Amino acid sequence: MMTIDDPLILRPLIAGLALAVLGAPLGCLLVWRRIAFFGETMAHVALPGIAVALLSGLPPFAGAAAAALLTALLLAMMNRQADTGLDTLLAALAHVGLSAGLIVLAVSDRIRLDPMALLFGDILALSAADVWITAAICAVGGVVLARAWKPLVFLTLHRDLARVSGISDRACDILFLAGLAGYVALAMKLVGVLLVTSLLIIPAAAAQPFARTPEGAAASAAVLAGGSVIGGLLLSFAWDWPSGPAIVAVAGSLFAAARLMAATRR
Amino acid sequence: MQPPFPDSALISLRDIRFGLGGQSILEGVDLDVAPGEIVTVVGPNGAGKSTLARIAAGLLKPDGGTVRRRPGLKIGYVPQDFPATPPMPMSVRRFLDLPGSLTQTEAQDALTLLSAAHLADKPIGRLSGGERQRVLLAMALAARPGILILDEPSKGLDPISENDLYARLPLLRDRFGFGVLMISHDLHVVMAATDRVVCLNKHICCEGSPRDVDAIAAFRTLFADPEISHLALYHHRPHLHPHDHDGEDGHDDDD
Repeated sequence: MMTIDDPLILRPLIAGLALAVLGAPLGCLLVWRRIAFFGETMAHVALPGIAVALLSGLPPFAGAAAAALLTALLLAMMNRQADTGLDTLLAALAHVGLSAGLIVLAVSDRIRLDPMALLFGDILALSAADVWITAAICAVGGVVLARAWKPLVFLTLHRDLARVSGISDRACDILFLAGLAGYVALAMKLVGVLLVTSLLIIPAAAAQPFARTPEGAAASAAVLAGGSVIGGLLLSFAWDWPSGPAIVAVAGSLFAAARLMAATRR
Repeated sequence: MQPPFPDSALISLRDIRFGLGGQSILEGVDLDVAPGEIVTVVGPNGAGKSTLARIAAGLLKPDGGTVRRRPGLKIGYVPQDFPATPPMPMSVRRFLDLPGSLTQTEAQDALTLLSAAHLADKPIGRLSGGERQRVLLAMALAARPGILILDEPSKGLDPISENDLYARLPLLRDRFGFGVLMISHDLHVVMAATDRVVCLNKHICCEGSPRDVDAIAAFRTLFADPEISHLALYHHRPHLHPHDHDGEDGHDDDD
């Protein structure tokens, strides 16, 4: 049984809090753009990316991020032709990606990796280097996102008005998708491919009823996500719950409580 | 023959063609907007009015033709649709801050100009249709535009707000001297606020002063029966505009 001052809980805690803070504004943008499932698809498609990276001796993070970004760009292009609904495209790609990844992992005897760890996260596999890399990338991502925040919010609210005011929608979209892909690849070790978007979506959704500004929503989402990480990890260490699902369970409870509060306030 | 590009125009469109999914939406449209001029484009549903406005605003690239804007021209744009329940929480003040080029005073001045100063702290999701329209107009005006492009600005407005909007527009134009390109489906409500009317049904079928255009049978039939008017328009294309090219502009209304 581990205790709270164990370095093994500090590692996921630092990485988790960094991811919670960066994930909050990204998650708000996903919720506002009504493309919550978009992150899900990117995460699922990251799995074959990881598998290919492992087979070719590349870092899994790079494989995951590249696969997620490629998919996002592909989707952005396909969506412009728009004869199939985006939801259909997303669902199809998510499951094809997941299946392709699982097949590669199953048939390759060169990869010794528990698929469960990829699907639901494995915080015990977090090395100290992983933690610092995660924190550093989150910090850089946070600075970039803060600078692009206003145009991204404007584009999300009204694309035409933003474009007439001189904002380049294509540059902003690519930046947003790249950020999302990087996030998905980073968060995978903590919560796994299947749960990665929950850390983006659930706290952001819970924060909406109480916020008065876009920044307020992002800040509240960051607090709720941070709380979910802390609560989930504590539960995980105390009762041996799987860490990813524990974090999501706490986030889900906070979401339910927020909805309840919003409903009774009215 | 295309009409030449006038030097004075803010925006000049020549031979604009646009299609979507194999269907032609605009077929060789020429249009100029001069400084201080209010031009209203009217036409039935599906006539390509919004497409034309979006092309003029630079939001859409035409398949063919030329778009010329006066160098450095600033465009104020009021879109046809703005969500009544926006996805994110935001006050009017914060909304006006989104383009990033305004000071707080400029934003407040723009609101005051439209008698909307009291709305500054209101969430944009709680605005009435008329209030929303004034806030959008304030954003467009605050950018100090050389031209204002309004896409069906009275859509969803009650008659009072609608009259208010069209009463304000010429006054604002007189004060700031910008040109206006406005889209409308109803000539009569915009008549008083318009210098020149352009009737569009994929191509320009007539243009002139509001009173002249209202008197043309082609214009009347344009809205009466889409099938008949479409045929009629191909048979004769009355042009009231003085700079008309050759002598084929008969206004004889033989229907």
